[in-house]
Amino acid sequence: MVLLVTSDNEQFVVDKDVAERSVLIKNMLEDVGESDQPIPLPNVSSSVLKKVLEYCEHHRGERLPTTDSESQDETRKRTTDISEWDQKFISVDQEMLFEIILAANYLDIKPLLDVGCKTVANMIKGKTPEEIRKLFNIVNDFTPEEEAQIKKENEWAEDR
Amino acid sequence: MASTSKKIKPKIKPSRKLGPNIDVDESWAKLTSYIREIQHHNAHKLSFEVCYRLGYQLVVSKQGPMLYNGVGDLVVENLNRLAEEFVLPTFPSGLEQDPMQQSQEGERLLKALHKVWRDHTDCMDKLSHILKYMDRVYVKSANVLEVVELGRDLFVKHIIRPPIKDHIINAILNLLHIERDGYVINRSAITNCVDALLQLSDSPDGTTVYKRYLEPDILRQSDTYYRAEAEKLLETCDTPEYLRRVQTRFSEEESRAHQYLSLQTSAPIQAILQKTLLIPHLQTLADMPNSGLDIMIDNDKLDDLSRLYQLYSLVPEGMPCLRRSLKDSIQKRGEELNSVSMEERELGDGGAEDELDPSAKGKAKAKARPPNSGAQGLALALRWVEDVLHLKDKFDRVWGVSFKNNRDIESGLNEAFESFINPHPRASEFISLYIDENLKKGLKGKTDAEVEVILDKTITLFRFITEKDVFERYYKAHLAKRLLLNRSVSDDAERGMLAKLKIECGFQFTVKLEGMFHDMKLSADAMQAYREHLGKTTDIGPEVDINVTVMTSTFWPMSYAPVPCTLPPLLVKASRSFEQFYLSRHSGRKLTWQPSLGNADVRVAFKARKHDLNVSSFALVILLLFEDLGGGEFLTYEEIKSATAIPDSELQRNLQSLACAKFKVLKKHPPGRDVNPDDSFSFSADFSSPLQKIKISTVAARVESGEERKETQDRVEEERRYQTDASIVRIMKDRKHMTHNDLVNEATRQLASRFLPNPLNIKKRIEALIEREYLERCEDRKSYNYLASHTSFYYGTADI
Repeated sequence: MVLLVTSDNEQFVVDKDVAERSVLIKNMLEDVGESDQPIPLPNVSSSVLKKVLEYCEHHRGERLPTTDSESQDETRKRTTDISEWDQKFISVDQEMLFEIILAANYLDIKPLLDVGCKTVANMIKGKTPEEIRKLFNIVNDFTPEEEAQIKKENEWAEDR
Repeated sequence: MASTSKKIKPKIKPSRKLGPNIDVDESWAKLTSYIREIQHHNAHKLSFEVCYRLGYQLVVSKQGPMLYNGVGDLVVENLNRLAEEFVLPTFPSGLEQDPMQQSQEGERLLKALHKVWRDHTDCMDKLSHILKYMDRVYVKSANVLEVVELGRDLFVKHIIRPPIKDHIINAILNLLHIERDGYVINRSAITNCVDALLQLSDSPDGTTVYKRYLEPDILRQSDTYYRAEAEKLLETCDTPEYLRRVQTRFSEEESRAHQYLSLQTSAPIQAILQKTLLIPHLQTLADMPNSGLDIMIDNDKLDDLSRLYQLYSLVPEGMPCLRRSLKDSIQKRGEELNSVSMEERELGDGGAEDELDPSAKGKAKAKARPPNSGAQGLALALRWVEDVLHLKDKFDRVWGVSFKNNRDIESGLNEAFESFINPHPRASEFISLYIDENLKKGLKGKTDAEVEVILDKTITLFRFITEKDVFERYYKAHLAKRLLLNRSVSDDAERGMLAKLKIECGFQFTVKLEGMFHDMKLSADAMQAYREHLGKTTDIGPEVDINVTVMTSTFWPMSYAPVPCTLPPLLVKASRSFEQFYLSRHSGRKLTWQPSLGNADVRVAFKARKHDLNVSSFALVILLLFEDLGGGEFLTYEEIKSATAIPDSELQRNLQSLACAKFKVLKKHPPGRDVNPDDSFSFSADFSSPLQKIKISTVAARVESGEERKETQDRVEEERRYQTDASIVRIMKDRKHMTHNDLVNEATRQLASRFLPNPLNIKKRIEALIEREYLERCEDRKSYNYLASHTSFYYGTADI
């Protein structure tokens, strides 16, 4: 069992194989050795860690993707398909979605990072720049000239 | 999904904790001190998560390059410290002379290097873990080396550099040299170092430091070392010792490569050993006087020979060399046997040459010799065959035990045997004589298995003979004698031999020999029928009991023209009686009597007692002349000759055996060993012997005399002409048109199983066939056509 402590000082006790879905925790346990000492995760809040652990729990025992499996990487990158359970799991509000992505990145949980990023990608798909700005609350910092220029350069890619 | 998020009011804010508001310098300062702690083995004091988070934050705040370079600098700093602290003080002084001291110095250096390497890799493993985020995010996008690889790269640049690199390589080479000289070194020190070098690389194509710097030096040094070693060993050792040393070297280097060098070095090192110790010296070793191949074979040094074979088979030049040396050795031994057999023949058989001399003096001398020279010649022939068989056994054993039944060597051995057996002018005759001797008496008291072994051995010799037709002729003659004189010990053995010949040369080769056996059986049946026939018609039965063998003239090796002989009335009557009987059963056949091949049992009354004599048919005819003479009456040679019409040579032989041999039933006047035309003979009534039955064998040289041999040669030549003709006609009949070269090749191929045809002779036969209009020469003068008008042509005499 591994004891995890979040930024808001909540403690989570999880099975080692669940915690080790995170490469960070895996490496840490390897280097430091197992102990009763709690592992502090000051970058993650309890609500997010709960969600992350839910994911890890569900996917426990699955093979961790290795860095050198390039071909697998390729197909993974090319598709935006998300499995049913993951879709349901990631149906959260946007803030939570981004928190999960950040946590996955920090904890080095590649599959979860992928699920989050693909979800964001799906959100962007088929939208105009204006819609995207609205969706993500982005301020348009282009001058009208710049915008016209970019539009012209990317004309060929546009859906007509 | 998209629709859901649209409803939610977007409220993205930059993360508070991750924002650029962290203090980069402070974080880096912290991380630097942590890394230093790790490098000083104090990792246990740190929190993994804190280190990781520092790295993470620095990367997230776009400080990747700074972090990456900073880590690199820290690693370099540490490496320099380690080199200064551990490696530099252990540089060998270069002053030590004693190998043990040198070895220890080298070992110290290598151990130091290994310690530095281990520290460094441990450290880099830890750094790579805490800097995992940097590896994952910054390293990939910046396309630089991951931390672990960066560590290796820096190690090569800052540790494996002159002068450290040179010292290390020298130390390894030194230790290698020391160990090769027979001292014990600490292998594990080298192993550890080599392992490190195998993981490091400083060239873009990934060639390891080991491969790039160390291996070439090792190989160069090995080459020099073993070149010198070969010279030294050649001077001090004999061949077996040399081979033993070399074998040890091979296995030593093998284990060295496995244990503390890289496996990839094994093959080049072995190649160097082959190139320096073996290849240049193969022939020298085989020819080494007093200990080379020849001597090893002489002394049955099978172990040494096995070693020699094993080593020679490592290099491609080895087999041909071994094969050549073996061939020379066999040839030398074979030629010795040949010359011994020829020399003694010259001595003992000098008379035989004289026989050709028609002068009276020559004849007188010659007649004195044959009994001796015959027996001597036979013994010589047998000894030659036995010696050759012995030689073959010897080499077969060496081949089987030491040379692992190598096919290549075997064919070399066979070639060698062929090369000395065939030049022996009488090999075919001797081998056939050897078989004859064995089938006649040699096999008595031996088991079937032993018989098999002997026959198998002779067959192997037979295989070496190229002129199989000559052998066949002798074998046929010897077989005929065995059958007619009933001298064969075992019918099974005879048939066994025949079966073996059949396997070797095919049905064609033995068809006549089998015909001879068949004739013997038919004759036995015919005789039985004849006796029954006589039993029924007693009135015309002959007064003597006769036993007739009917031989098919083409099967048996004898002249078709009968030797003239006037039979006394008694025998004429007997033979007539059988002729009548036989021709009444088989019409259209012609019987010709061959008295030269027969023998007779006759009871002769001497003064003391009666004896049963077994004599040849001719001797019987001669004896019968004396039957009606009173005691003390003489017959001159001329009288006997005119009465019997037996040709001179046969008459002399038979008279000699009756009057001059062991049992003298006739008296010769004047007494002497040789029969001359002016001698006269009388019946020796005083003859006595303790034996009741006496066999008076005809004096005959069993080894051919020069004259007979010439005759045999002529007959063989004639036969070959027929066979060549038949072969050419057969080929042309099939092909209709052929070029000269093709025809000669094809004919040679077909005839090769019988003898080795000479292309010149084939050409002559082609010309003869053109003359007889079986073939015609084409316009181009290079090819021939078959003339179809001769399709019905039947070539009776030459059934190959």
